[in-house]
Amino acid sequence: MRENHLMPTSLNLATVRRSDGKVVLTATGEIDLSNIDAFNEALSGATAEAGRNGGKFTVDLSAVEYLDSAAINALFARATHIDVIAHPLVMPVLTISGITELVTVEPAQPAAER
Amino acid sequence: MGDPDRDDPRSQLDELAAARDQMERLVRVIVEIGSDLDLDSTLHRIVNGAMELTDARYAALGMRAPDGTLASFVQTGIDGETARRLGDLPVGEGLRVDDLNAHPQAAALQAHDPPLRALLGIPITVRAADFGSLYLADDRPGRVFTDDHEAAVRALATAAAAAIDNARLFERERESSKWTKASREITTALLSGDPQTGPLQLIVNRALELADAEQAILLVPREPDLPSDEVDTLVVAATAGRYASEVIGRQVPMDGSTTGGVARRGLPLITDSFQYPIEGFTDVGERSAIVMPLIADDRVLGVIAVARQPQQPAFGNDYLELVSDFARHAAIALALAAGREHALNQELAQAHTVDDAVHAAAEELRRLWRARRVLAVTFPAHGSSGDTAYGEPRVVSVGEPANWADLPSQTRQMLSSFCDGDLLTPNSAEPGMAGIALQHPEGVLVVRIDLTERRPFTLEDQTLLTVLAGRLGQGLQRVHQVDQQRETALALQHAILGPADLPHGFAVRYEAASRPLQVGGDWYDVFDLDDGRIALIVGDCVGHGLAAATVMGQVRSACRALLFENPSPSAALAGMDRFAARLPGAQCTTAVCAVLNPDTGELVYSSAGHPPPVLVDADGTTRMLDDGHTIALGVRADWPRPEAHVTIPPRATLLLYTDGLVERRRRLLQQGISSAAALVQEGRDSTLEDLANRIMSGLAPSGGYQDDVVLLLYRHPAPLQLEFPADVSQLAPTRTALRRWLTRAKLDADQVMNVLVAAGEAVANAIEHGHRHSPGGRISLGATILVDQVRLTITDTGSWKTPQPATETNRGRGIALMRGLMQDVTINPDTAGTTVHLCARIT
Repeated sequence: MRENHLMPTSLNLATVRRSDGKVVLTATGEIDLSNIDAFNEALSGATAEAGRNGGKFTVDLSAVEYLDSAAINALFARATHIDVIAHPLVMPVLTISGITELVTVEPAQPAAER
Repeated sequence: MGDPDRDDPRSQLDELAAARDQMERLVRVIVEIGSDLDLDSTLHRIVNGAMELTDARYAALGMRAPDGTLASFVQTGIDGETARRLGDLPVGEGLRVDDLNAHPQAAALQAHDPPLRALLGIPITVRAADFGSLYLADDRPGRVFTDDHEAAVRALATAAAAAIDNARLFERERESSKWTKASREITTALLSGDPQTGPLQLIVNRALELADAEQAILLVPREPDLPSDEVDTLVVAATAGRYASEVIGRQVPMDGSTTGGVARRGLPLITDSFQYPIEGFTDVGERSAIVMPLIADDRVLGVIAVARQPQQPAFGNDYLELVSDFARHAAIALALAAGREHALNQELAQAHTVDDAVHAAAEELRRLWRARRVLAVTFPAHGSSGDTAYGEPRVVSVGEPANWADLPSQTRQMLSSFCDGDLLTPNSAEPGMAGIALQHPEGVLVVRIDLTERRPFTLEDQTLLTVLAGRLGQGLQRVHQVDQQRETALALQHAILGPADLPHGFAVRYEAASRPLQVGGDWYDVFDLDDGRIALIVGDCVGHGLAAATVMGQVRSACRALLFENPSPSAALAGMDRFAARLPGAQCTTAVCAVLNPDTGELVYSSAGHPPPVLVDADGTTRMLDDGHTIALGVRADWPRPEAHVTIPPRATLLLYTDGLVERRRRLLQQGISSAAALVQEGRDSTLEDLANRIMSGLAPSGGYQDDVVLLLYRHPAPLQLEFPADVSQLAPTRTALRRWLTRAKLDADQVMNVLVAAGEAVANAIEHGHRHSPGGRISLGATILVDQVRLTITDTGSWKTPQPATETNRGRGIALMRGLMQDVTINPDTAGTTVHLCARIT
């Protein structure tokens, strides 16, 4: 059982400051209860990074094909600091959760058109 | 009291002291005589007490016989003969004589040496009847009985009357309970059917013993089957006590005999003279005898005559009552034990299961007593060690519905106390009801009868109840044995028939034409193959009944073995051709053999002379799978067997069947198949189980199916069934499995995502709230596809704790998400765990 804890759902997180100075947190994989701590840490890191520069940053979820209420709760907690880019498949989930009313959520372009 | 003329203060004081002592003595003696309830010792204490109060040397207590003479005596200091002579003196209201020598009627008493002189006689009256007299006598010169003595003895006589009355009542009660107990013993003994002692013998033995008699005989009608009024002769059928060999078999005419008269009138009597001589009974001396009829159901079954020795006291009239109860009891037991066909027996004979039998018996008891309600409560015993722990009682109630939980606690307590009490002992705690406990194959059965009115449950009622309860106990045991044999037979039949537990996604119905058999010549089989595919077979051996079933069992096993060897339907049927050609009765067997890939819905099938499977798509499109078809099995050697392929689309329903489902006289087979296909099409949005029921009832002829019937349904994809530990590491693999299944069901990507998120929330909740504090719990997830909806059930073994205020918003968001994404969400928390149902319409 113990080693199962060491194998959460696969998720890669990277925070970069783009050349235009904008901070972007890019997530790849799936977000659920098993890796939510890592996602929260990354959000905190990005918030700190962006704080030195006007405070806003972008959470790029275009390569996240699954997220649950744990992830949405984390986004709500930073609603005033973030813009979100989301995979089209998770758009309905985000809409139903109401986050789209507080945060600008852009659907990502389908991969082929990017 | 003292002499008022005397004024010596000292003498007055002495007199006062003496009077006080006498009073104290009187009180003590009175208390003593009532100190126990045994009649004999009470009488002795009265005699001794009277002597003590009067300082007399001799005392006697004479008791009157029914004819008024003083028949028996208790005496002290004198012999019985002298006591009897005392008894000859008329006591009247009291008799005091200072010197008997001067008494004209006392001459006989002078025989005593030394001659009796002073006498005090006081009558004892019990319940206004002359019970007898108490005599005190002395032979010392100058000794006389004083006024004080007389007063004290009179007081004692009054107290003695009360003590005698109590002792007599007690004795009668004891005697009565002795007879009642004997009656029950007879009932029990008769029912246990001890072959050593016949019922008649048992009755005379007990009657002899209880009446403390010398001889008891039992006469029965010489021709037992004749109606009572046509019987002309009685015969001595059983005898106990003296002269047994002389009297047995003697015959007595009904007319002109005392025993015949008792049998005719049905009333007992006490006599010492018999009208008609019975050798070895009436000719052995003048004896008091009691003659009683054995009557049950207004029929005289016989007559018992019990005689005491000549020197024993005659039977008193109060004895009649006791003996009549006994006789009634014995008669009822006899009537039933004689094996007269009783409704209860018939009911029991018809019952297939113990539960049926209990129910039938309760109905029968209710009918017999015209009862308002009969409760039959089974207390199942835990384990076989015979300990007294019982499980949850099972209630059968006729007349009024009832279940254990709703019964008043008083009733439940009463039933439980019956259960803990003696078996086969009727209990009538209050008027209008009676209960009895008896052996049940699984524990103890308590039957309680509530009459429509609050009348007492008579001795007769109790006897009948005991008899019937005994019968019921034996009957239940018999039914239980038969039931077990039947279950064994059924288990064997089901083993022949096929798997009881089908893989998910299948529904099956089977009906055998030949009742009570539950198998016939038809069969089905569904089993997992080594490569992950599933084999489906439906077949039909020629004929039905046991012969066809035995052939079928072998054919089924052969087909299974062939498919394990080579999972190809055509190869399997080719092998079956060779097998069927060699197995008598297996030729011309028809079958459809198919192999299904549960992931893709690909189906390979081959038919040997069997009606075609039916495939109905989600949109209602109906196809007959009539390719891959050729002749029945075992008809031609090396006959080529074709194979056909079809892919079952998502949410389509497949029907396999035997001709019993669709074939009707004077109707084309094709019509029947079309009717079946139409029913599948109409019911394609039902669950498989519902659909199976609809088809079976929809196609059943008015008199039920006349041929063996198999119905096998499959819907693609088969339901998903996952079980996993309640741990976050399980989220991703669970999602992967569910995504694969949803894709197989051809849901579009958006809908797959909605279901995945909703199910993910339910699983996350189960992990977070159900098991956060109790690791090691498990979660199960089931998903079923219907033609237009997908249904999920997520069950955990924990309870969803009320969220902490800090996490309430977060958790609430998860549940809101579920509700937003699904058409229907229900959450059922339970002490054993929480179940979440999710339902989404497929667009």
